[in-house]
Amino acid sequence: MTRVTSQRGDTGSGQTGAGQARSGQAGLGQIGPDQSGPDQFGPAPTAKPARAAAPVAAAGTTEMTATTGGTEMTGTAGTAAASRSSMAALPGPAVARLRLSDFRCYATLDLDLVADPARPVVLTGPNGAGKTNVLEALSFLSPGRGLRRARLVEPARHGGAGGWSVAARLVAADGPVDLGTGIDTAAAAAQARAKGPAGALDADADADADTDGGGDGGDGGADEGERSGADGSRLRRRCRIDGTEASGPAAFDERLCLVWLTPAMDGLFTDAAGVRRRFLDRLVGQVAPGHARALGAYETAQRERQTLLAERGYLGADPGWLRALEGRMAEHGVAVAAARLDAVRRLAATVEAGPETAFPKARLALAGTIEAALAAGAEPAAAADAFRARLKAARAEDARTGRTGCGPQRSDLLVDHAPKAMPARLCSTGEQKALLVGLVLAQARLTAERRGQAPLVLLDEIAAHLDGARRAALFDALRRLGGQVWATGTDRALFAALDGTAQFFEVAEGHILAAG
Amino acid sequence: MSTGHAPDIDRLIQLLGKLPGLGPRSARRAVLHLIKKRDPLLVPLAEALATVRDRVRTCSVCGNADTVDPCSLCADPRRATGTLCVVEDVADLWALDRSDLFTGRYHVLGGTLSALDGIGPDDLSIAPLVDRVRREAIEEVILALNATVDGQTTAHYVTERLASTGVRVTALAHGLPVGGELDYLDDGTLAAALQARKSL
Ligand SMILES: Nc1ncnc2c1ncn2[C@@H]1O[C@H](COP(=O)(O)OP(=O)(O)O)[C@@H](O)[C@H]1O
Ligand SMILES: [Mg+2]
Ligand SMILES: [Zn+2]
Repeated sequence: MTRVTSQRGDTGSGQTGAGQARSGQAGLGQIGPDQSGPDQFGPAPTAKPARAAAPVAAAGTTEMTATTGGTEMTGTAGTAAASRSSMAALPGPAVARLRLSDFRCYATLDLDLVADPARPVVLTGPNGAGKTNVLEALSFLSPGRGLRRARLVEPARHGGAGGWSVAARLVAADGPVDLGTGIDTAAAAAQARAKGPAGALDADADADADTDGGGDGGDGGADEGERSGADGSRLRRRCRIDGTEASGPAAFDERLCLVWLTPAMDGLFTDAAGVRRRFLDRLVGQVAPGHARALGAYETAQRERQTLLAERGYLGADPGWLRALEGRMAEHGVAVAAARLDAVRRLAATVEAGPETAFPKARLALAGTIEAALAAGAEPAAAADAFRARLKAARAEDARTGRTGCGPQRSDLLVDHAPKAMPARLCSTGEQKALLVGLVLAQARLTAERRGQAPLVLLDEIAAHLDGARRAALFDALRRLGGQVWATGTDRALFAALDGTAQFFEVAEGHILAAG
Repeated sequence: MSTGHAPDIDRLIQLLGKLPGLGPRSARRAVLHLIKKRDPLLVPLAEALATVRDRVRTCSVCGNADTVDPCSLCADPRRATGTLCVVEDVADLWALDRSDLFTGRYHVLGGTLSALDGIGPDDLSIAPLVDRVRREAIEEVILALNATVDGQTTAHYVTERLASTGVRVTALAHGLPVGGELDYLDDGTLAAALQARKSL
């Protein structure tokens, strides 16, 4: 059974699909289950997240060779990894219902789905119809700024009241869970007032300059909140789990793991290192729960040190204060680097242990100051001491340049096309695309294995860029993964292989209709 | 728009509504309650407010807020245990003191180091702390600072500044989150926690 209702933003009138329309006003009231009938969103039993203790890859399965500027790691087909990959994770959570209000082009959207990971959801329709917006809405059910890296107020529907909300009921092996997120209309309006027309420019600057690491003790940069200037109060993304207010989006991570592939990621191998670092850190956070927090703490200390060097200059800055900050940078930096190294080793082992498919295997390496030291076998304490010494020696230079010359904020994930032994950035566009698909599939397998349950997979316009054989290989890999897939495309025919299993929807100008 | 009462009462509602935890609605209810309980509540409250207004001061020794200087904690000889507990602000002092777990004296820093907010060592009560440790027979300084980057940076800095006094400096243990299960932690956090271990 599939029931869909949606309401187009600009008219505000509901066009009804296969079922009856629900009326809805924007606002966080919609996030939780409390606003709707008990038949759909009734209180759900609180279940502990399934996070299996997966075996740790044996140290010997990853081969490390030092190279200039970093560390080259060649994952070898470790037997531990190989046997692990055959150990199936539980099927992942599937979406039973998705409700949006004032989210992008949707004034309201209410989608009922078959909550079965074996039944992918396929959204087709012309450009600009609103397909990616639906995937983006789902992507807000995880820490961070969603798959478009939007500012908090950006998804709010133009012409709407200023707030937005996304609510989903998921059904996992351990029971249903209701997740909701969004920003309050009132809070968004207050921020808009505080910023004023000039402030809006600042806000855009923030969005470029920010990092994903998060504030102190936080979990995700601007995700955690955006300063609203005047009174310094912060606009926060509110999050609810089973109707109860959660501390922030980090709490979603215990319930849901999201892996996505979008056209915006096409430049992963050719863009600046920061883009790959962000990809990597998101992945690391999915397998190492403390990572985002450590990264946020490191970045705070790093910014404090640069501020100190800038304002008082190298000679004017209190050396004790600098030592204290460099101590924090070393402590958190080592934690960040260790978690990254561990995750890249595991990812390399997962790639290596995976089947030979139409998607070439990637060879992964991690370049970075502390990562290299740890990979070479340094104890964490020794790596921290060495990093502190480097920071101390670099004070004059960092004061002059205004940036921190070494550390985890400069690290890079290096990817090679393994069969061709060619850096990914030098590969053809098609080869890069295939590598990227393979890498994201490996990410999905790794998170499934480490967390004991398959992730939810969002694929935006992916099928269109693959030939028939690769498309079949992708669908095949996804079926074996066991996570629910949400895929978009302009052409229904691309998904013919999924006839009979997928739930098809036709998206047009902000309306969604069940289609066969 | 009629509010149903004179501007005097309006003003009281507005002022009460500025208190933490009170909004305009609860402020209106509080004011109505005070008016109804004029003798048993409103009169003594007004007197208590006036007394505190006239006498409140910051303790010149520890930074606590009290109506006497030195504050009642600093004046109590039983609190001269040789242990000083360093906190960020008066709220932390009161919270710790309510718990009755600590029986010594306190020292309020008045914030944490934060280059981003322009708060440096001279803006905090660090030099007076060093003086106190030298003057009073202090054997141990407990740094009860928040587990934030700024809190920990300040702890590190204060520890260095106290090094010349030879006093023993300890800190509240941080690292493992409360209720954190070891096997749920990633290797990086575990490594950091292990590195930050404390002798007990
Ligand atoms: N905040 C917003 N308010 C209203 N409409 C928006 C907002 N943000 C984006 N849109 C509109 O949503 C439409 C659909 O976008 P999208 O989901 O990316 O389409 P596609 O189906 O091609 O993936 C676009 O035409 C865009 O103008
Ligand atoms: Mg799109
Ligand atoms: Zn005192």
